[in-house]
Amino acid sequence: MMRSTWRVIALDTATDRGGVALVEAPRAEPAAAQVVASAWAERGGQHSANLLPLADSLLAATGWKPADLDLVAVTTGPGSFTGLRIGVTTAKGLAYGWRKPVVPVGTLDVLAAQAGWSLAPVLPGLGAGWGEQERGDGRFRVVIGAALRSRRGEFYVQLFELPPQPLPLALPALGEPQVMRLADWQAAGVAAGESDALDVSSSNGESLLVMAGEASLCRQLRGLWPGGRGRIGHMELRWAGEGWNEWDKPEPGTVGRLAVAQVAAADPGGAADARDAYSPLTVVPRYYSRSEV
Amino acid sequence: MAHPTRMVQPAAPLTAAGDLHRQPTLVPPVDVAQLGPVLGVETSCDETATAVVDASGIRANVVSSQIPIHRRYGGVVPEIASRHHLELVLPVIDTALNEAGLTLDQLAGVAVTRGPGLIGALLVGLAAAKAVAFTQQLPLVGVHHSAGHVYANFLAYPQLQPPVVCLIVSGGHTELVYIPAHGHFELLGQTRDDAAGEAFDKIARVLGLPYPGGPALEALASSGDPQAVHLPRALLPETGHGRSDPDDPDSISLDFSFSGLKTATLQVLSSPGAPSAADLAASFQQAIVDVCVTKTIAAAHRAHVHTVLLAGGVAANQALRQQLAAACHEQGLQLFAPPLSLCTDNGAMIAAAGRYLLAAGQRAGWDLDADPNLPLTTRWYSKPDPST
Ligand SMILES: Nc1ncnc2c1ncn2[C@@H]1O[C@H](COP(=O)(O)OP(=O)(O)O)[C@@H](O)[C@H]1O
Ligand SMILES: [Mg+2]
Repeated sequence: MMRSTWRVIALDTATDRGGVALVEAPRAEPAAAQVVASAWAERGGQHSANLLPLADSLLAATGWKPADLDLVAVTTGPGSFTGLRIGVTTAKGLAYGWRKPVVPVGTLDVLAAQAGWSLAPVLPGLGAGWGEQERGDGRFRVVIGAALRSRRGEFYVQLFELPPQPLPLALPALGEPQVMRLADWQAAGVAAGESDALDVSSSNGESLLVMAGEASLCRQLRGLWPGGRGRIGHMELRWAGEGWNEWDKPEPGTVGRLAVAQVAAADPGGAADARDAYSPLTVVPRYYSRSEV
Repeated sequence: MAHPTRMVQPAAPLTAAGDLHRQPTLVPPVDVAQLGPVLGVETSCDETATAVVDASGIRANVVSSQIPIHRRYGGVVPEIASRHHLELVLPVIDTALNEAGLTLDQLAGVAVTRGPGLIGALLVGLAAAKAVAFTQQLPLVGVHHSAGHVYANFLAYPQLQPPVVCLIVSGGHTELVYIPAHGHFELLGQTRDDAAGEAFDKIARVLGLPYPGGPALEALASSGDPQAVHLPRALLPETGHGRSDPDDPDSISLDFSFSGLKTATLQVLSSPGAPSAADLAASFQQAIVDVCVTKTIAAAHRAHVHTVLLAGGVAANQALRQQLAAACHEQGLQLFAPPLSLCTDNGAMIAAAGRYLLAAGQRAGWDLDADPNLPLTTRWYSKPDPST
């Protein structure tokens, strides 16, 4: 008999933080997905040693049996290539052995969702609502720019729409992740509104671009954005600053919740049908590298 | 949406990661012949390889080689190798199990190469092997890659027993080891610079041969004269001996050095009136074979063994196999070399070595990690304490 909830084990090793979470969601109401347990270690070089012991301890602590699980979720990128391979291969191996689907989740989707949850209670306090709410002389659009450092002085960035309340689990992405250098970012800021990559314009006036991710990178990107007001009128760039964005790194719990959102959207009937689409034999990381290697 | 998303505070880490690192454990040993089928996983370089080995031998042996991919670059590109391992490793595990007619839960354990090798490549095989073992709570062991090469012999020749001396010659290794008992490796000598296979590959490259160079150079050498060009053989004097005397095994160091040979070969190539490529290849190969044969015989005498093993990718070389066999025969020593299919990297040799570790009672924790510089001669396992 099918349980009334989905149970997910989520892995994330895309950044220096590597962790595991167990997430449960009512099938009838996936948006109410809850993190049942989660644990992580902040040591990038030790994902290989840490990941399964973390999973082992969470399963033991919750008493969840492999047979209770419906999905294996994993961040597939962007991120550290080696980290992604450890997480994705582990997820594939677990899903293969347990005969479950692997649900790939984008690292920047995770950062954006976390920023959305952080912003929800804060934005009204900034003097405005968001979405279609009125703010002074015009409408106010909020775009979240999720950013993640790569090696070689590059970073990944992807824009997401912050839709009106109530917040969905996963924020709709505005295009694919981009690999950029700081100079690209500056140029994109100057051209904002004209380039597809960074179109944050709103139909009638004001936009707020909020950067989400590691504080030092967000601060740097904010500093390089050409002024508070670009060519699209009253666009402002902010950084979801220290203190109120506690989720500046991907969390395994978010990975699990986004996996639920994805499967619920793709497969309202139940996880069983998701198996072919998410085969452990075929899921691969998304490296988003500029060049092939 | 009816239900607004609640903010969920991240749970505090349950345990500090340091506490999770379990020590490998020992369980009571069993007879290796009583052990059920073991899955072997090998991804240390450019072959994604898996196998299932049981007491009767190889049930399945699947090697997905990336050689054609790396040939374009003239050598293994680590990032590309890691990406291919990731795509291939679960499918080749699945294929091996299907060929063996087994499901994961029917296995007695999983053995995986944890070093030495390319770190990114090792991590993929390790993650896959650990995860599938975890799903069925199967016993797990990490295997030294060169130990796997050695155990290709014990797999191919079930009657073979230690003590033995083994010459390990591969792309990354040239070592003489004494194996007094299963799982124990004492280093007698090793290369001070290039490995034998590496020397083959480098000379093959300057001769314009495709990667990997060893087999291509051997093919070219077969039409050449091994005596055509005089090249140096670095026998190296043993400590305490002024110079090495080929007729006195005790005066010869069991260490190797191939850099002088490499330099001399390159000089011949660039000098006027260079010999034919085939003659040079044959002479170069002969110099390597001579050094390997002399030192292996000396090692067997010093360790007082009657059995000699040949292992590693270069063990596929026919000149080395034949001349070492002849020299061993002359000295009253018995030589074993794996069949060609088990000389280069494969999962069966890892499963075979893993079987001895599992039978000895060794169990790795779920924190088993890759070690790109794993030494061979640390004890794989200590004997179980008889008082416990
Ligand atoms: N017939 C041969 N003659 C000489 N060398 C060979 C032959 N076949 C393979 N090799 C060499 O063996 C090496 C590959 O062996 P392998 O065991 O995979 O090395 P490793 O595991 O150290 O990377 C390569 O250097 C290759 O050129
Ligand atoms: Mg090898």
